[in-house]
Amino acid sequence: MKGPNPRKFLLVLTPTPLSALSGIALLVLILLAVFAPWVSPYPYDVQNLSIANQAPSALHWFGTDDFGRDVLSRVIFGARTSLSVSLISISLSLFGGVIIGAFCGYLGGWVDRLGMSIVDLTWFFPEILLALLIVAILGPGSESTIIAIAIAYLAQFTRLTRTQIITLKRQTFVEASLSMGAGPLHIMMRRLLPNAIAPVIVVAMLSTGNAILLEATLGFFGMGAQPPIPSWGGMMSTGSSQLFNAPWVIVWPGIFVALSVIFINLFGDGILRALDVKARMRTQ
Amino acid sequence: MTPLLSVRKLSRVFSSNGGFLRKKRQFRAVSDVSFDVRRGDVLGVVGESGCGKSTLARLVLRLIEPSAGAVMFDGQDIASLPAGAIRPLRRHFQMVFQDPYSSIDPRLTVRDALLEPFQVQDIKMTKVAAKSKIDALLTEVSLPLSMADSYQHQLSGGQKQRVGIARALALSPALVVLDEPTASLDVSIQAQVIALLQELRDRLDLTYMFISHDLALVQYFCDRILVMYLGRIVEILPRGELPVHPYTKALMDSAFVPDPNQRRDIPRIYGEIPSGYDEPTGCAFVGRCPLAEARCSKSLPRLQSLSENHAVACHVQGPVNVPMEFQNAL
Amino acid sequence: MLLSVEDLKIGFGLLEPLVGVDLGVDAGEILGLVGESGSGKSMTAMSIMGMLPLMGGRIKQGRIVFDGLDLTTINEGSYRKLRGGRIALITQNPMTSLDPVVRVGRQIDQASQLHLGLDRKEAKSRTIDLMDRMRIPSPQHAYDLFPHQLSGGLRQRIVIAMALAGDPDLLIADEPTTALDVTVQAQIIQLLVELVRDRGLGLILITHDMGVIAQTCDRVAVMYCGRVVEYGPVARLFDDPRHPYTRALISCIPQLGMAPGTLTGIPGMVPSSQNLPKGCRFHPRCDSVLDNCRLREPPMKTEDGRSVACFLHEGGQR
Ligand SMILES: Nc1ncnc2c1ncn2[C@@H]1O[C@H](COP(=O)(O)OP(=O)(O)OP(=O)(O)O)[C@@H](O)[C@H]1O
Ligand SMILES: Nc1ncnc2c1ncn2[C@@H]1O[C@H](COP(=O)(O)OP(=O)(O)OP(=O)(O)O)[C@@H](O)[C@H]1O
Ligand code: SF4
Ligand SMILES: [Mg+2]
Ligand SMILES: [Mg+2]
Repeated sequence: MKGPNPRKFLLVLTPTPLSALSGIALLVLILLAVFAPWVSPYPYDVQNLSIANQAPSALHWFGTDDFGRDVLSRVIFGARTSLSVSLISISLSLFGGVIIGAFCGYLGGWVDRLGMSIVDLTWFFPEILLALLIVAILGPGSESTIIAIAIAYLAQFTRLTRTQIITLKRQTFVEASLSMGAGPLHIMMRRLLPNAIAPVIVVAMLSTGNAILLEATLGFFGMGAQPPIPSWGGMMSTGSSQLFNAPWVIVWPGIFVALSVIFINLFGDGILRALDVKARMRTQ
Repeated sequence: MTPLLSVRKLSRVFSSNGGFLRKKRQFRAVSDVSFDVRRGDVLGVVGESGCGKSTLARLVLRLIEPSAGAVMFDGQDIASLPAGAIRPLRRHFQMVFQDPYSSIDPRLTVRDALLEPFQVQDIKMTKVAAKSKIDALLTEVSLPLSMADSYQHQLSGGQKQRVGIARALALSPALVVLDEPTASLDVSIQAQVIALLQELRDRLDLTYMFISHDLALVQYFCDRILVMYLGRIVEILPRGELPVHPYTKALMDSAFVPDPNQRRDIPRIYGEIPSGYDEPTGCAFVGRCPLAEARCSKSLPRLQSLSENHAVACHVQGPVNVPMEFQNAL
Repeated sequence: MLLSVEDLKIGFGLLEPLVGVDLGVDAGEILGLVGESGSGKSMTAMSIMGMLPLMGGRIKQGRIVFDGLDLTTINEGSYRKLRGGRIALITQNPMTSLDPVVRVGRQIDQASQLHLGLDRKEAKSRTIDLMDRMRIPSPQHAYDLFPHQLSGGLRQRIVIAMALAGDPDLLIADEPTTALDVTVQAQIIQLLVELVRDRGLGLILITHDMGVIAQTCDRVAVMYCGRVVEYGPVARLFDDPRHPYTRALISCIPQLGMAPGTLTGIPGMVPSSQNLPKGCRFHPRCDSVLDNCRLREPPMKTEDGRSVACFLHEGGQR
């Protein structure tokens, strides 16, 4: 079987100018994060108390914090933490959710009821509360943040996958495969998952934005990446004590959190719309 | 010769989940159905929506589990085989589905869709062999070879149904079950598809079970016709013979003859189709039947032979009251 | 003529889903509109109902004359008074014309309250009467039901009752029985025929079932790819179809007692509206093409009550 047609893939990626621009902005952000050691003007952890809390200037575009560290460099390195933590946690969550959801949806019956009631335990709590709870149990740090975020979003992916699988299971083409003599593995891997996965992935993209927010919140509470590793949430937390005499310390990471969330949403939105167009083309 | 397919006392009950404060209800979609299909024959199945035609098709192909009964395919009871044992046998009986629009995975090209039966049955082919197989299948159903690279949504309804037929033929089955293969197509396309099916049957020696709600079409295409009402067979009649059961007659009378010179008033059958939940003790047609007598609502009429190929389940029109012309056949 | 459509052409942007539609219906008469899916049957109905602007289309040419009034010249406000009043439409899927959360009886009331100015009590008794005439069993009880509590056949009867509530002169039924079973279909069609005969209304019956046409209509218009290709009295059209498409269409109908092997279908496919063939739209599938057919669109020619758009019959001669 062939993969998706490359031309169609491009079509999906550039549905509207706005989402294309957001996609480019996101790409720049990711590149900045990846190449942080080369693009950032200063190391993120070198302290110089003599220049503490300086306003933005030609030397330090975003200013310096109360240890005299360059805020721009820390924002760029912070992007590494924020993006990697949220991407890894959403990937984990997606992976787990798809597997549990697919099993529950496909098998139905008591497997479904058991699986869903376990997953639904996490559905009752607001994501932030759940994440705080888990980090409180596991102790602060990047790894616990990743696990906490992954669990917080698990129910969402499980439910979505499960509904997708249940709807697809009733489609005639699945019955057609069965009638040819297909086994459960073929049905799941060839018919159900490939058709179910697209909307789940789009939701995962959109959730990455929320995960960045969640990561920042945990960092703000001092539960995320531990100093001196910079994270946007952590920077905002330390910046909050200097809110009035050095507002730039808190504002810049805040802007980056907001921008990345907006870009991710715009981009995801565009993709959703493109998928929708494709779906309409099919049902015509 | 033994019949290719021989169905005995086949039933399927769907039970709705009894929930909180709700009684578990049982729906008899197919009840006590028995019939044979001879090799090379076309058996038609007609009846109104919801009478259990598709359920019967799925039972015959063991796409769903029967509640009771046997399905002997080529002398082997496929209704009682374990699920694993049945998969390799599936290549011998295939299905063409009612809705061509959803019977092909939207992500697949026509080529991939036609190769799926081979993948599923673990039949390995070289690239060259696969290509020539696809070409042969497309030619078989009169589609241009260039269509192999099209996606389902780029095809018209008739073309999709041809792909569905080609896919069903891929593994060279003996029996093909056609579940209303033309219901969603225009008449001119329907005629094309029917002509194609007829030609394929003659050439490939196929046996068909052809489901439809169009009596004229079934009369045209099938050797024997099985008429269903609420999950039961009410009549099995050979092509060209006049119907005997009041329901079959009503169906026949409801058909609009496409000839303005033969206009007639359509006799109405009153009454609603009863639901399959509360099965009546007597004949299911009794509420709408013009011939109903007292005994009709008391006991269920059995399916009884009028002649070698003709059977009917009706108290009034059964063998005891057979009109003269059939008496000799008994 | 109660309604006559003359040389109608409509446009949706650059697309022209209808070109050259000519037809007419008298009071107490049934006009059948047949043709394959996408041939423009519903579009014709929408044009008569004045609903094109709502769908983003417009009338480019031609007239729709209803009871002496050219409907292409009136404004939306006057149209709204006609719609559901003197001209009513029954659509294919009864579920889309019924409000799922309003009792069916009330929905019928609303039409007669709106168009006949009845008060609520009068409307209700009229509704019960209509439902009774539609042979809906125990109308008093059915009045209070919601659409989902009724079977498909009953729902369609409610929709017909709703269409009749405004006391229309012209009824357009767009595939009123496609979603129904054969026995139910027979009842509904019979009901419509009786309405026409008893109340003298004009009916345009849209269907792709030639059997229904043959059994019920007085006149037929056969459509192909947005054009009326043949139009005439039903018996003559069936006995002596002039347009090759009409002939082919009739040969595609399975009939009781037909000999095996006689059903062959029309070769080729209906062209898509974006990609219409040049010349006569039927020429790629036609079995008797002339040179002219590939070059020009055949004009509609009328002779002794029959019209046909085909070069084989230019001037009505064979
Ligand atoms: N999985 C199921 N669970 C419960 N009820 C079912 C199920 N499948 C079918 N039924 C019921 O069984 C009855 C028979 O259905 P079936 O699909 O066999 O009818 P049909 O004769 O094929 O009708 P149609 O002409 O509309 O296709 C219907 O009333 C349907 O609601
Ligand atoms: N909103 C629209 N804009 C542009 N074109 C349209 C629109 N709706 C329908 N069409 C086109 O108009 C043509 C006629 O469609 P119409 O719905 O009238 O066909 P029909 O004869 O009623 O078919 P069916 O039997 O499937 O109902 C089709 O080619 C269709 O693609
Ligand atoms: S058994 Fe009675 S009710 Fe049933 S079909 Fe025969 S006559 Fe009618
Ligand atoms: Mg069915
Ligand atoms: Mg239509």
